[in-house]
Amino acid sequence: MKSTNKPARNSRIFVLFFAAVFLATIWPIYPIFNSIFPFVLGMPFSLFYQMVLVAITFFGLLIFHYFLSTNEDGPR
Amino acid sequence: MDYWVIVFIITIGYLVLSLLIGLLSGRKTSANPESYVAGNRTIGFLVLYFIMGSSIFSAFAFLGGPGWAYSRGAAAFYIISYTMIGLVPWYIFGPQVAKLGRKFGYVTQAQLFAHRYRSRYISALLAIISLVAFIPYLTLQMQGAGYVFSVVTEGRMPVWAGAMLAYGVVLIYVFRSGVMGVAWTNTFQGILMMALAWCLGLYLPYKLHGGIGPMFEKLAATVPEMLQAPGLNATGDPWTWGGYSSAIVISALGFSVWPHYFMKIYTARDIRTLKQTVIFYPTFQVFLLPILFIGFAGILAFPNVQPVDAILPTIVTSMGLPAIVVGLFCAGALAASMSTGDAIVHAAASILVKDLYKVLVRNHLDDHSETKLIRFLVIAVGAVAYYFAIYSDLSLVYLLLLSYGAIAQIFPVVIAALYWPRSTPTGVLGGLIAGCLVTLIWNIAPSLQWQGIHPGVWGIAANIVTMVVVSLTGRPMDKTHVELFVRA
Repeated sequence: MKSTNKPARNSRIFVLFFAAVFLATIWPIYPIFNSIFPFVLGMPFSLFYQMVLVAITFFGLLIFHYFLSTNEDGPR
Repeated sequence: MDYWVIVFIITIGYLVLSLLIGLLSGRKTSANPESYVAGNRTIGFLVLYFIMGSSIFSAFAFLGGPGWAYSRGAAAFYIISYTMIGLVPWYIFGPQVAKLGRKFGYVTQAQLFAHRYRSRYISALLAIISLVAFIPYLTLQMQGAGYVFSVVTEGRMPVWAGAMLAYGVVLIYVFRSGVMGVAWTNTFQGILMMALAWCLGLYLPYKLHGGIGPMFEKLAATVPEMLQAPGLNATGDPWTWGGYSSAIVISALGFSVWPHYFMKIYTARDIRTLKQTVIFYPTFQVFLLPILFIGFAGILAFPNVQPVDAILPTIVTSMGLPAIVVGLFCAGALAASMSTGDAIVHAAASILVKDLYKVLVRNHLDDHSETKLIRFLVIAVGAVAYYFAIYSDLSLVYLLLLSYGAIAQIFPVVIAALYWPRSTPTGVLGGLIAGCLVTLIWNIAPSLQWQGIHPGVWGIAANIVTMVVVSLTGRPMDKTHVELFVRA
């Protein structure tokens, strides 16, 4: 390994983030948020929660890509 | 002019536009397979985003998605979950795959593994798994397209003729333009689908129930079980959490390794393009929201529609909407079917030549005849799927479920190939075979499906255990060769 362990730490953060989002969509995490009320934006909470997860995944990836990942962008 | 004639003309207009875009985009496609299959690795972010987005939003999303929400309620949320997570693994292994593809000239998935493990059998096995999974998938898309035409023309155009018309267009542009035809038509089809989904998804609940909020309030008062995961199963009984969760796991793992998506890693212009596509991919899922709204809108307004997948066409055609709107809807549904079908036809033909024919039968084939063969097979694959779509009674949905379980078995292979130096050809091959067999057996014997857990999950477990045990007991592979693939 040529560089320090920063890339390794970052990819560990990434895998943990991915695992967290993944687990949030299934049993036993999702049942905690799986209620009809309160309605948000006209949607039952169980559906709104799905949209929140989509937003978290998107912004999480965005932040990771632009702030945490090393600039190893491969062939031009 | 008759109502249906206007609808029909708009639908044909869409087909003509698709054909034009598909043909024009092939101007730079040459007889070189790298060009025909991987677009010379020049595809940029926006187009790659739409290829991936439109390929997953198949006839299943446009007809099946509302069908799920309509008949199974919150069970349909699983579609949002797995498509949201599905592409994220690309961020991790995608760059490495793209680099290897560029270095060694791969254009299909199996080429990477065959080279990594120096095994023809892995290539052949993966090709067979892919084809078995592709055919029912493609067949369902064709039936969807034929069905749309039959509904639009009020039965004047039979399903066989509609499927032939829509897929005639697909085969022409894939034949001519290869992956670039798939790419640019998918971009057009993707935009059309998104626009239509939002228009219908907001308009129909408003028209039928006075808005999204009032619609869900009514549902909460009458059928609350439809609004909470895991929703209902196919027979209308409550679904299990095991079934819901494992459906997400298997679909999400399978998603990133479906051979026709995986191949698109090689088409990316550079690593940045690839990573950007993964980052922005979850935004495509927002498009599922209106799709589900439509299904929910039908629950109280149109009870007992059979088959449930007909709920969207039923609502659209029975509300006295202007012909233009109905025509656009049909175009959107066709776009959903065709944008998935084209990618599959193209991938299936490429895989047949690259991973099966060249590996098992004939090693050397010049570029020109190779592309010719792929083109010929594009037509042949289309014809086989057409046969199944029109003449066969095979249970396709069952086959498709089975194939999802089988495709997911490729995920551990990707991880082992790129991150586990000690994995061996026999280990990987044994794991794949064990995984597919277990999936098959669990499918055949429902009594084994404890808690409704997807057969593919047991397959994955058998796959990993077999792979690890067989690999560790075998002789390790040559270290310098392995280091080309596994970053030390």
